[in-house]
Amino acid sequence: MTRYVIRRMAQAVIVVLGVTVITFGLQHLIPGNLARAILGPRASRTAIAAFDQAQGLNHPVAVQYLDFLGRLVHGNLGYSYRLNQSVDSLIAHQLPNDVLLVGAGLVLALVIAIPLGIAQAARRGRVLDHTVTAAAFALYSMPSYWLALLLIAGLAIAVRAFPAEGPQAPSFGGMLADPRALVLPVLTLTLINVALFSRYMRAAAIDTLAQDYIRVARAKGAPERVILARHVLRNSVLSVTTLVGLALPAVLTAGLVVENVFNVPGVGLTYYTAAVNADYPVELGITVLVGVVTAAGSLLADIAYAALDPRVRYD
Amino acid sequence: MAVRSRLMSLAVVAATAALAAGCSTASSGAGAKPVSGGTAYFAEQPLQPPTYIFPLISGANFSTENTAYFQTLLYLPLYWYGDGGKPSVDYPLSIGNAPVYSHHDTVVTITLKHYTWSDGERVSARDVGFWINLLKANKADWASYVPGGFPDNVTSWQAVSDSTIRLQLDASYNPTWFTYNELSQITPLPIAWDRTSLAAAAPGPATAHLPDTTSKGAVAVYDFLNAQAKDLSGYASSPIWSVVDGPWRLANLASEGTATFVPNAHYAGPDKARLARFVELPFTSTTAEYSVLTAGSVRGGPETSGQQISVGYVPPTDLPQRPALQSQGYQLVDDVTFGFDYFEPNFNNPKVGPILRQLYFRQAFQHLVDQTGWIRAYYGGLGVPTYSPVPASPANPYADTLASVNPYPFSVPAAKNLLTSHGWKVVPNGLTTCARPGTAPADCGAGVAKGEGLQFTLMYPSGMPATDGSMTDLQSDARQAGIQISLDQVTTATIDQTIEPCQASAPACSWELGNYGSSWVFEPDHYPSGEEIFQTGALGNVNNYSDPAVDKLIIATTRASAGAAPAALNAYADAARQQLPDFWQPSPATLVTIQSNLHGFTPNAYGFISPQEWYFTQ
Repeated sequence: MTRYVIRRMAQAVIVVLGVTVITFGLQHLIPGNLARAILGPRASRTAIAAFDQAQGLNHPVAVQYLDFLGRLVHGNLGYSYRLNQSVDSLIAHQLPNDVLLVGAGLVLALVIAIPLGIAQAARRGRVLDHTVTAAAFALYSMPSYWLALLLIAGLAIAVRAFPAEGPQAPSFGGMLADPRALVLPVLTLTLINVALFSRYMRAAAIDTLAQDYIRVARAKGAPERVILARHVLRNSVLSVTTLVGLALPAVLTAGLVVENVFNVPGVGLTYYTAAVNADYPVELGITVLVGVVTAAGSLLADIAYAALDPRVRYD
Repeated sequence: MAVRSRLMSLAVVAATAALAAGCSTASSGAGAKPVSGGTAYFAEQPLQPPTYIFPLISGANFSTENTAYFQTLLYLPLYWYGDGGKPSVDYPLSIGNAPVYSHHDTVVTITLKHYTWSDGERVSARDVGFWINLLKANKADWASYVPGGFPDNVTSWQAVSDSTIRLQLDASYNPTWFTYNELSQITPLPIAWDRTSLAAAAPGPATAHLPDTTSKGAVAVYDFLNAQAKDLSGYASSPIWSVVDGPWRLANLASEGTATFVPNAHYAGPDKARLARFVELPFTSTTAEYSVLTAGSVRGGPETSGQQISVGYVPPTDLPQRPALQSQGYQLVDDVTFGFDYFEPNFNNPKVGPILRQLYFRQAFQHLVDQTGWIRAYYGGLGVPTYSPVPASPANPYADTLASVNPYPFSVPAAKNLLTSHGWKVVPNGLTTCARPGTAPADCGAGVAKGEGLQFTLMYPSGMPATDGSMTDLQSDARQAGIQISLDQVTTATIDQTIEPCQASAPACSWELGNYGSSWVFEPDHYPSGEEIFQTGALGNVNNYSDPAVDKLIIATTRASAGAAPAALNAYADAARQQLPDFWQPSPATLVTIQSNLHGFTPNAYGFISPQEWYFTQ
């Protein structure tokens, strides 16, 4: 297992390096003058030359890439042209927002979707199954920004039960101190995820219920509740485990819509804005982070698989 | 230099002067009892929080949010531009008295009123000189720098006394132009900043051998202050940035962009703050801002808490909700900045440049721009047509009567006639081609080959519904004249990167038509002269326009005597409006929302805000 983890980590480093090469290369393939995009269309030649020199843009691309890697090794993700602060500090300020919102949405979705999927499987073809299936399809096919706007229109503007924007405190603790403001953004993320997870859980549970060992358990007189909790849950949850592992990068990116609509500055929105505004250091820094988290999520999912299913072995 | 203000970001909120019709400053609150205190909340533009505090700001950080909404609240410019909605200097609110020009307009003498820094020192002539010294040594870092312009055209300065500074110019200049375009670039800085580290005690006016007096020293001072300006979290507590002369001091700048100001107790100006606090709120999108606007409280004041936006804006896509906002109780103000809007033909493009250089073609193309129709259909009725680079709206003393007259009104038949009469075979809904090449008056013109078609690619920013609608309409109208336009939606950064001055042989000259989706706003150069956009080789002349006759008229606007200046400006404006160095399109306006019991808000033609004038009523 240890050798497997080490091998996977080495692979992850290569993958992340590959991502940086591609992103860096694509950035430099964009036609036009970066300094002009940053300094404005009326920048003087002197200002453009000074900018190019300060950012190392007057060096060959390969040298610029090596410089970037050198800084990366020292934990320096770069400095934002537009936001006048380091990418590290931007991420440090914004990541807690994402972890809180997306993490809460993920956990709540799992808490709801796992029993819901099992219940649907256990009552396959009945009213509950059809109703939840219809709701899941409706939510899953609904763009998240539309769902967010509906929740604002209904619960913030019409009923005025919750604020229209997420918590505005600049710290993790401050955000937790404003639970009412958390409701709508977390609810949006939860509903979307419940729709996805419950479908996977239902399908997996239906497969499990058809297994011989379930039939044996029933023949031995085990109560249905015990069968579902002890046998179906553990064997079905494996499929969702993979999903959750792969959803980890979503902490950085999936919150984009929620951040946009509910006024919560987060890494996803910063990434998008950096791409639109040609803020290359931010774009590259967050790309590296997403690459690392994606590789880590995939690895964690594999390890969780082994922990949940004793038949799985990695050598 | 004038600044191009983004349509989405623009706008906005405080920018502007009242439109001729429906215009409106916010209610004066007559009859209601003013109350002291309270917190006013101001909506920042999406994802544009304040990020730079040092007034000597480079192009990378130059934005309305950093200058007009942040720095000028703390550090007053020498002159305050925008007088009750009019695009003129507000001398009562300025540190400097009206400048006096002498020696054939080659010497400017400025006397300063008695303003003080919060460290107790007087705002003095030396502080103005400190700014000029820093600028002269760090031109590449000054967003508004134009070679030959300020501070190059100031050969020397002399502090005649604590309250009087004299500038020696390198030539005679139009006094109005110099006051509005060059003196507008001056922000006095406290001598306490004239240092290169925090280790030593802050210098004072009596300190000898201040570093800014040498070029090397001024570079070191700039480097030190620029480094200090990178510590955003330390702004409020910084011994540098806490020395202010403006009506406010910064109490806090949170990492996500919330800026909290409290009144500067040492402020010596006539407009002392009545609010207890002024807070600028960051937003991630116009949608988020509008949600808070509709869900929040429409009344503010000392006892009010909860979500609210005291002064906000309505996103263009939500303009139809105007009646709903009114019924909610918000005061609504239509605003338009002092500027003009246009899109760019690339005169040096090797393929279509020869066609674009023909005046008759530009006239024909301008006939296809349905400005009033676009305002009605795509701008939510909020906008003003552009007929001249010296705009008629908002009302101003610079525009002549011709500025309100469209020289090329929307007319597809007129466009077709112009093409036909110049040797083109017009094929409506097909491709119009040159049938009569040559340089005679009735021919297609120099560089246009027989059989060449009218096909263009027009690049514009995505995510701007008004621009998208307008350009699609233009494409449709042009097709009726046999002009084929391929629309290319890109990011604003791509446009900024792509549209640049170029030689015809350079790969960078491949762009044909480009629309920034934003206006040219006369800020921080406030005089509507054209030396920065239409003069040959000007930094803002990104589309390679060159006309010696127009150049001559432009130079006259900057060099004319005070008496001859209005005629010189009219001559330039009338030539430019007919010569079409760009294609004119409508300038968007902004709908500003104000809480029902907040008063004192006055739109500013150049985009500044003055929250010290705002107050709540009971």
